[in-house]
Amino acid sequence: MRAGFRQSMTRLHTWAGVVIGALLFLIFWMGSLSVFDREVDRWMMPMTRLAPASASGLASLDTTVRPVAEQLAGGASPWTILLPTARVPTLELRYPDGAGEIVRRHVDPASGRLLAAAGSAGGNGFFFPFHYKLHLKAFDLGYWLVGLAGMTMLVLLVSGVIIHRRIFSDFFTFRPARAMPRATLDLHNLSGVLALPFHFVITLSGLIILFAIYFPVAWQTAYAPAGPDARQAFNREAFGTWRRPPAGVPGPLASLDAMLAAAQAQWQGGRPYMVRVWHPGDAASWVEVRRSFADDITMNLDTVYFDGVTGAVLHRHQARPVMRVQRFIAGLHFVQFEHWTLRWLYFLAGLAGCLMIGTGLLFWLEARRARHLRQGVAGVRLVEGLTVGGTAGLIVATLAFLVANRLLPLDLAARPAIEMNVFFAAWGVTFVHAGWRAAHAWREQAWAMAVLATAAVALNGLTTGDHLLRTLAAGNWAVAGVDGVLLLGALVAGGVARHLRRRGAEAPAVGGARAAAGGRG
Amino acid sequence: MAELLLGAAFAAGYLGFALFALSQPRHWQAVAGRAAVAPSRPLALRMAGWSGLICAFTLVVLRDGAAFGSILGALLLAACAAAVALTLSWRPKTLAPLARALR
Repeated sequence: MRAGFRQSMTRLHTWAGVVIGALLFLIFWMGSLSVFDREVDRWMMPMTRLAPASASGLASLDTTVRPVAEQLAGGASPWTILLPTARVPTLELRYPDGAGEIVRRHVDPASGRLLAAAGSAGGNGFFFPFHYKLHLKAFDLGYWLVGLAGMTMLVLLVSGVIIHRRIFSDFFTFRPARAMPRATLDLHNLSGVLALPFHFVITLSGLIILFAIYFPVAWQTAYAPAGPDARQAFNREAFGTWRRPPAGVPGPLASLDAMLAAAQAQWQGGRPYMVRVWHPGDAASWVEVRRSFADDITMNLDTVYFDGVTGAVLHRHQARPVMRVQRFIAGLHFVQFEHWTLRWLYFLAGLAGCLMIGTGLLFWLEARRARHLRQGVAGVRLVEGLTVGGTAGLIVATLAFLVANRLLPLDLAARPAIEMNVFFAAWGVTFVHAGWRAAHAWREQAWAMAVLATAAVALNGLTTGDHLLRTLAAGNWAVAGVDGVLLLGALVAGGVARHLRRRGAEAPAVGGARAAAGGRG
Repeated sequence: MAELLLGAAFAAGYLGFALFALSQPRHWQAVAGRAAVAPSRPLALRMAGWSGLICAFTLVVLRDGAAFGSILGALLLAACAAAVALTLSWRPKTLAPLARALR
């Protein structure tokens, strides 16, 4: 390979990485946490820690969630009912309130009892949207930034492979005892090479999931003949979206249980996972029943639409070949199948991605620290502040979010928003701290992680009584798992902090801290 | 049974990558001691390494079918390789019996 080409690839890898690294770390971190979002939900919403739903058939919707929906949501459209799964023991009801915000409530599937409001967005409501749209709503800015980061990630992976001089002879090489830049680069290469297939597939599939946003020309051109209805026509053919206008005349809602049974019969025993009632109480209301994909990688689009009043089948949808491919790729990314070994491996591979990004940034810093100091350039200080806040600080903020969840009283108005504000406030503080304490910031934030993670576990035990011994004995793996990962993270973060101190504390291994705090949050 | 197959697959993958590592002089010396300058049959070690990886992959495909098995195989082998790398960083002597058996 010509030297000039490798050099230009090195430059590309270096600068694309420095500019977009912190954003990529955020996306990988939130994605890794989202792998266990439902388990984090159980941890953050103690009222939903029910025994797993019995495997024997479906709970009756007509006698449990329906009266609740009629009382809470009334005619607000649509009601969305998520059925219990192996990971979620409750029936979840979602409906729009007067302001159009989606309200989420949980119902005990055995008794139909409405559980107390969770008062928290939880992992599924906070970490997961953070992962793909950064909680930035204006102009879809979040989606586009994530898409830009995803494209850059592909560029970084390819250029990284090109500039790596000894992929095979360094395949197993990690020399923690060597000087900082060398040990950091070892860790960057190791995590990058070993998890390369995962990183490539997860990034590409993430972009393919949102193809309709990132590559709109494709469907806009294909559906151009439909004129102003192009989007509707595309959604109907690709995703099976079916609509009709409400009649404006009242009409009673037929039995939802009968519709579930009919859908199940259509799918030869395939189970439903979601029921959505459009315009409940209207004479032209309709009910959408979607099929579960818990035991398959492909996220099927099998949907049956029923007339809300008569219960007759209005429309059926199955993905066409091209969409089946898209749904397979999406399924690879979303990990919605029930496979615990794979779930843990996805989590670990995601954290390996965080490690790769963190050590990459750290290597940039270490390679320039002395020179910039000598030349009086402020580059290292600036990047170091952003890197500390963007990596270690993000983990500190995540842990602060969990601690706030256990400390805020449940009856607080707008409690979910307050929890999120605690996250962003804590994150802001870590950037200020990084700018102020400079090279000491790494060690001090590692200590903060250890303290906060331990506090979160202790507070969970104190405020809910579900301490680790009890959850382990009771087989409550979701809560026990979150506590266990937090404790493990606290240990690693504490170990890293002590190691940094011995090392002279200047410029630590963020890598360790990262893997360290690898709590699911 | 499923756990047993998974454990066997991890063991086969770990062993396979360990053999790969031992086929490299640097790792061989770290494991077998300075006296052992180089592995005697690097090519044979690599072939044995490949068979370990193939064996691991086959076991998970048998366990979970082609679709889930392939994904599990890819991720499990990455975990095996990481485990070997960390063994070589912190406890290289753990692999000494393996090196002795191969000498």
